[in-house]
Amino acid sequence: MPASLALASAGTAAIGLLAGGGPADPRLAALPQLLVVLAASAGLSGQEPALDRAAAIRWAPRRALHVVLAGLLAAATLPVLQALGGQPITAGFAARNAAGLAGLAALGAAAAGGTYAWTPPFGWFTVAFFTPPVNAPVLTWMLLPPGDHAAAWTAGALAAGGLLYYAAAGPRR
Amino acid sequence: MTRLVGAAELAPAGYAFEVRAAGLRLQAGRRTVVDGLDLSLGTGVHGLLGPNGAGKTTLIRALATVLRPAGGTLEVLGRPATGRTGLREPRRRIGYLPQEFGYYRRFTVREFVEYMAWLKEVPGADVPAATQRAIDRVGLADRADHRMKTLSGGMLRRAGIAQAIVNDPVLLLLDEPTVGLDPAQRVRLRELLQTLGADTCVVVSTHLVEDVAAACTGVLLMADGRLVFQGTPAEIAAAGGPEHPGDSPIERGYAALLARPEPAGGTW
Repeated sequence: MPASLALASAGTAAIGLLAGGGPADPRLAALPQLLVVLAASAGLSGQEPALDRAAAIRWAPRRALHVVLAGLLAAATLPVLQALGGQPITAGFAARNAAGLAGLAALGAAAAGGTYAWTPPFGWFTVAFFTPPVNAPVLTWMLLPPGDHAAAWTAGALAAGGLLYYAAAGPRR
Repeated sequence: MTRLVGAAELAPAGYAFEVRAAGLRLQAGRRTVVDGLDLSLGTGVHGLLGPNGAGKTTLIRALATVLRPAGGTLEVLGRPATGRTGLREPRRRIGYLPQEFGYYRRFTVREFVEYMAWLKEVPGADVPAATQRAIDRVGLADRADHRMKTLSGGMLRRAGIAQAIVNDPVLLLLDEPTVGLDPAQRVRLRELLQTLGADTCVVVSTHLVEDVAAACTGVLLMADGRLVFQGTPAEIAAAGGPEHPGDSPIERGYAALLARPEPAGGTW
């Protein structure tokens, strides 16, 4: 976890500094949130699934809280990026992307375990990154302006779906 | 060290056997590993013997409520273990040592056992004392504040046993607890098992037939996902004759029971 946090903060700072002064690019603005979610995703399953499953505590609310915290951490890149003054990033943009990406990571953890939880957010980001700027709001939801309804709905659905599925099912063994 | 005894511990158990299974069917992935198992286990140390692939680990996982049965009935501590809900209460009173277990490498032994006590909902005020007691019982007191990654195989196994007994379980499930232990440690583990078996239902899976002879009050013999034999170590020893391979009576009995053709009318 300390390693993940260090990686995420260093990455965010580096992007903020590198992007400083350049033209506004949503791909660069979305990258820090992706990095934080990727770093947090590995923690979505424990070290021993059998012992975790045999535990008496209520897992569902704790799992949900874990995903929410990962999302909040990703959204917290906003003030960092604003302080570094690189990309003109808005709160709506950061919140939408943080929620959607955290939901994707939760879906990944529930489907494939914490080790591979990074694949869905990373994969979707890669697709969006290389998709030419055509009218495909669902595909490129994380790069669109915060006012775009289709993008917001896509992110919301991913966040809610990931949160509920992961909280109920838990990480895959 | 004194411990307060709660009303829940003094209340009479609402069940006759800690474990009760009828027609139990268990799957590992898509493969049926255990089929048509009938079983009743009460207080005492029950040795679970059988060749590799007999279904011992799968059965223990089901008893630990980690694996949901694919068919039949299974009651653990009086609660059906077939559903998704209603398992928190029995899980507080189950101790489970998996065959191999992962752990946070930076945790000390004490932190690891405390974490497992928390997962088992041991009341917060009792956790430090319960942790110390469990670590003492497996002889790791001098290593309590060493990190898990510095432990040898045998110590790791004992740390695993400590986490399994930290909640004073009523049902203790140990999957191959003697792997990696040296002979002196194995003898101490047997003594611990005998002490625990006085008021606990202990299920120990092992390949070491002599461990069963020394520490167990009952023996379950599994082969190909079915229960081939249930009885006492003495009954196993009596089943073997000089014509069966083995170096001790119980080893010869083990070989004899496994070689015996399946009697008509199902398992027994």
